[in-house]
Amino acid sequence: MWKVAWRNLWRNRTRTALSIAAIGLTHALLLVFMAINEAGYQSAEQSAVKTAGGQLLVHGSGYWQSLSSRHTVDHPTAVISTLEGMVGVEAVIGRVILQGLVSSSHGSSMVRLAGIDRQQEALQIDLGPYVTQGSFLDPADQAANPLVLGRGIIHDLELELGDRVVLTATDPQGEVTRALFRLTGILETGSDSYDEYAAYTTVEAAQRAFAMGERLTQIGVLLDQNAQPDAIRNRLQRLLGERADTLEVLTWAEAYPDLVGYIETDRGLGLVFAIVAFLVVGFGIANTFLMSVMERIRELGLLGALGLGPGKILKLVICEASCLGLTAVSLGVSLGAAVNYYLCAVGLDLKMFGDIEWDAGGIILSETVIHSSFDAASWIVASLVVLAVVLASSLYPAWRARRLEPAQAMRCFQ
Amino acid sequence: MIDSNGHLIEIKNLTRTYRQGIVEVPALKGVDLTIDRGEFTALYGPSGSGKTTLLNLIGCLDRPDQGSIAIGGRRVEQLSRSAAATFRLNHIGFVFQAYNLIPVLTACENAEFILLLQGVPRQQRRAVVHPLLERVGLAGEMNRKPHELSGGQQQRVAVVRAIASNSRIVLADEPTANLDAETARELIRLMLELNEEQGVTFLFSTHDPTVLAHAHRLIEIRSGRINGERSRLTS
Repeated sequence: MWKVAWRNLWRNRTRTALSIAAIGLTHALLLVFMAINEAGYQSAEQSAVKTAGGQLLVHGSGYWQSLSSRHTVDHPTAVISTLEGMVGVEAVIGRVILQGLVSSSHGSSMVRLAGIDRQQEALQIDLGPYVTQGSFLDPADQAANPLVLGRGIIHDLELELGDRVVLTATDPQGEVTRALFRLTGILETGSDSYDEYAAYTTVEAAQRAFAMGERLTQIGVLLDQNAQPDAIRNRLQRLLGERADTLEVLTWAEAYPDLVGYIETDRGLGLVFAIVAFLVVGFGIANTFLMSVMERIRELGLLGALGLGPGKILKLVICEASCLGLTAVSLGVSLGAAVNYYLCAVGLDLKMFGDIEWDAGGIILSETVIHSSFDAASWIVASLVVLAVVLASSLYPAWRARRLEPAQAMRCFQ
Repeated sequence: MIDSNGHLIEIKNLTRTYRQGIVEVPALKGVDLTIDRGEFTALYGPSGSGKTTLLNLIGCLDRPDQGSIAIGGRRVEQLSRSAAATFRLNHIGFVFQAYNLIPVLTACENAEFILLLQGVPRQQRRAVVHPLLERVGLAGEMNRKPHELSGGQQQRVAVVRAIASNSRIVLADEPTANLDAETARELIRLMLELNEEQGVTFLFSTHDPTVLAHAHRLIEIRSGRINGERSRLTS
């Protein structure tokens, strides 16, 4: 049966080769598309974690909604100590984040001022290499209130290294406070939207300038690779007891629901793309098999006359489809694996599509080279789905073949 | 295995009418016929006389409107499609006028195709088919595809296929229609030899006087009825 099916398949070599190429290329495209997407999602998630400040974020209750400096983490040392003692926690990073206004003699610009500990921050993301002039909060720098600003702000305010600027922000008591800072570094990440509002200083300088005492606005928590953010959050809340009511603990996904929505939407669109692609291919295959059956009516009649029952004739056509499907899927997997290997090893530089900003849901995708990923389970599932589509496409032609009356089909005695 | 102490084929009052649109075309009008084991019988008559319909009905490729067909004592006229296919597979060999062979298989694979469907192991199949192909002069053509064989060679492969599975009945419709006179004579001699050597019952339709000359029994069909028959001694 399989031998006859395989040979039947190659009776019209061009048609079979075209069918296999169509299915195989579509399958390869689907596999690579899936792999790139998955890697892209992972990269976006990593970027989101970096942008958010950690897999878990601890704020004063209500901070994330309002981004107001009134909602601070008071007495953060106890919280940090609790976190550092927890299994699954890799690092704990304290920050002061304030929305403010930076002013020079040439004007003012909105900024997001982050007071950070550079060494701690580097555990997650080191912006040092993106500082194109000056230094990034170098401890050797003697400036009392050092400030690193994005290139966009520098351009708007016509600033130069060493210039003094005034930063205005609201302190925890609700008072509008001004403080003098000195420009010690210029940040250039390549993302215009980021460089137009990023401002960095040290934690101590921010606390001092805006009367925060030891208070922080955010504690970022970096977790082990296998740690579950939700489980750590629940444990932390239990350990904090009543104190937990004054704090909010968010996972990165809760902090950036837009990104999660974007990824889910994109996954859905990918699925729709795959369904449409394989529906088109499926109809093509059904047409091919129907033509193949119609061309062989006399021969199928002969098989019936010789004693091949209707069920076996149906099976023969399905065997042919299986041969076609398996060959095409093998081709697709081979091609997909070759392309994916290249993408895993070398990657795809998104900059080749133009000098545009790559961000999603407010997250800057700092890594513009996407390295594909390989997930054997999803490749197996996708290949089985393709095989199922091919087999499903052959069902109607197979059913038509099954219904043929041998005498009529052959017109053997007419 | 079919077995009966009576006639091998017993047909009673067989009637078949085809409908072409609103027109009804009677193909057989109450045919009674018996065929015994080992006969070498020819059906003859003009085109449209009902020869094909009769062979189709005996071969379980079609169903009658009325009447009965018993083969080896078993009634076959109302078999389901699947049961009819199984019956054909195990008891009836066919040789058709043309397009007899499966194009993607070699001569040897075509010859052993029925055995393959019957589930006979490869070695056993080859043991049956090779001597038969040698017997019909195709020892050197076993691995050729049908399009590489002449019309006569293709028909010989079909005859080997029909008898290789130990079918006791071979139905042949105009088996020599597409062959030249000499090749036709060779084929009919081969069928006759196999009939004599192996006791296979042959029932075939033909217009060819050369073929008719070799038949032991001649049945004339006209307008869907048996018009007459005569027997002759083996030549």
